[in-house]
Amino acid sequence: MLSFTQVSHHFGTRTLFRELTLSLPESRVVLTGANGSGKTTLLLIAAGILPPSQGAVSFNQQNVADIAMRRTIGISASKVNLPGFFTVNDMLAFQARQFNCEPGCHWADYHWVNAFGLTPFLNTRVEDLSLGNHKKLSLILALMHSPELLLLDEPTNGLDDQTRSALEACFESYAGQLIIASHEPQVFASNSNVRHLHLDASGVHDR
Amino acid sequence: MNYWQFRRQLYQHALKQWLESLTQVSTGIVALFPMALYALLLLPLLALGVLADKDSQGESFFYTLWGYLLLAYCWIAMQKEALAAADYALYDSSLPVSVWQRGATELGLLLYAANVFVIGPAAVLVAMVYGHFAELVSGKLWVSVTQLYPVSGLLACTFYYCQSAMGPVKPWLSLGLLPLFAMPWAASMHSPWLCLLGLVVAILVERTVRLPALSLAGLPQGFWRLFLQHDLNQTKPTLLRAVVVLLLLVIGATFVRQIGVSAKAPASLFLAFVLGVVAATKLLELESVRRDYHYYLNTLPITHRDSIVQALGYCLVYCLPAVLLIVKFNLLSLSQWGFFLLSYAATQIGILLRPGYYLLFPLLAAPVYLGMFTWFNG
Repeated sequence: MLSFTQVSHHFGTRTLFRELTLSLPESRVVLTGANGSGKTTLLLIAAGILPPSQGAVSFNQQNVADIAMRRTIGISASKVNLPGFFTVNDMLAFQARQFNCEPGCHWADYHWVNAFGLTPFLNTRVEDLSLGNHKKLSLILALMHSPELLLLDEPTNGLDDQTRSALEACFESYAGQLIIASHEPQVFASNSNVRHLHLDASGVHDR
Repeated sequence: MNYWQFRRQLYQHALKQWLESLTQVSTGIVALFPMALYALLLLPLLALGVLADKDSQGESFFYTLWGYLLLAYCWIAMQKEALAAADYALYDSSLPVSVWQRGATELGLLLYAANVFVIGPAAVLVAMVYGHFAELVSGKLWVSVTQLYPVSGLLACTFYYCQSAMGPVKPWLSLGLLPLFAMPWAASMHSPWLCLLGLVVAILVERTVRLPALSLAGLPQGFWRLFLQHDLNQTKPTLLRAVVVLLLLVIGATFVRQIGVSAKAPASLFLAFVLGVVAATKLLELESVRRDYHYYLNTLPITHRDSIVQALGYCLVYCLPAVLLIVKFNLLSLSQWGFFLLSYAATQIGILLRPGYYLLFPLLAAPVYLGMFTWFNG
C-alpha cells in the first residue's frame, strides 16, 4: 500500500501539494489532472526519486526514499531523462546489471523487447529514438526488475497499436500495485476495481 | 543574406552555444585559466619565432611544431560541427547552391575559423618572400628555399591538419605516437628538415593504415560504463583537457629545462600544482553527468556514496595516461609528485564539498604542504 503523510511540495514560490495525506490500498489507481497540476511530480515523489519539501511517502510501511526500495519500485516518466549516448542494447544491459536481473538471453529475444517491437532499434542510440520508441524503452526499464509498485506517467502516449495491446495485457496480469497518470479515460476500462483520483489546485480528490 | 553570410551566421551561432556548454562542462579548466582561451591563441604567435627560423634547434623546433599542429588540429576538430552546420545539414542540403559555391564557402569558413594558425605563418611567409625577392629573381633559388622551407612547411602542415580535422582521418601517428616515441631523440635532431620529413611520412602512413574501430565489448560494465560512454560520446571536453595537459607539459618541459637551477624546483612545483588541479577537475564533468541524469540514477539501487566512490575511481583511471605522460617527461621529483597528489586530492575534496569554491581547497592545502615539507627537510 502506498501512503503519503503530510506531503507538501513547492517549486519556487508555487505550491503543488499542501499537507497531502493519502492511502492507496487499491492495486490499480488512475491519476488525472490538468497540465501542470503536478501529476508527474507526485509520481516522482512516490518513486522516492524527488524528495518532497515536507512529509514522507511509504510503500508497505517502508520509506520510499530508502535505497533498498529501488528494487521494489519501477517508474516510467518523461522527466526521468535517460542517457542519450547509450544504445538501446547498452541501456538495457546497464539497467539489468544494476538490478541484477539479467535475462539470460540476447536482448533481441527478451520478452518485453519483442512484445513492444523494439528489436529493430537495439543498436539505435537512445537520443535518436522516436517519441514512441523512447516511451517503449522507458516502460521496459520500469518493468524489467518486476517491481511491486509500478508508476507510469502517460504510458500510452505515442505508442502504436501493437504496443498498446501488449501494455494492456501487461496491466491486466500485473501482480503488483499499478499507478498511472493519464489523460486517457479508457485506461483500465476492463477493470472495475480501479480508484480514480483527480489532482487540482486544491489537492487530490476521488472521482 | 547570401549563402556565405548564412553559413557564417550558423557557424557563429553554433560556436556561441559550444562555448557556453564548454564553459559549463570544463569549468575546471576555464576557472583555473580565466584567460585560457585567449592565452592559447597567443601561443601560436609566440611559436612562430621558433618555427619560422631555419636555424632553430631541432629539439625546440620539434616540441614547438608538435604543440602548434596539435593545437591547430584540436581547435578545428572542436569546431567541426559548427563549421559543417551539422545541426542544419538537412536544410542546408536542400538549398540550391552549386558545388563550387558550397566548396568555396566551406574553405572560407575553415580559414575564418583557423585564422590565427594559418594567417600567422602565411604573413611571415609573405614577408620573407618579399625580403628574399631579389635572391629569388637573381636565381639563387637554393638560398631562398633553405630560408623559406620551415615556414612553408609549417603553413602546409597547418592547412593539412585543419582540413583533416573536418574529415574522418585521425592523426594518431603523426601527432600522437610519433612525437611521444621520438621524444628521447628530440635533442639529437639537428635540423627542422628531419621533423618535417618525419611528419610527412607519418601522415602518409596514417592515411593508409586506419585505426580499427573501437569495440565496446571488452570495456567495463556497470557504473563506469555510463561515464565511459559519456566520454566516448562527448569527446570535446576530453580533447580540451588532453590539449591543456599536453601543452602544459610541452611548455613546462621547455621552460624548466631552460631556467637556472635555483628556479627549477619552484617552477616544477607550480607545474605539479596546475597539473594536479587540471587532472582532478575531471570530477566536475562526472558530477555534471550525475546531475543531468539524477532522476534516472536515483531510480537505481545505488547509494549516493557508492556513486561518488565510482566517480572517484573512474577519475583516477582516466588520469592515468596523463600521469604516464608526466612520468615520461620526467619533470617531477618525489616531493613534487607528492605535491601533485595533494593538489589532485584537495581539488576533488573541494569539488565534492563546495563545488562553487573548489579551487580554494588546493590553494589552502598548498602552503600547508610546502610548510611541512620545508620543516621536515630542516
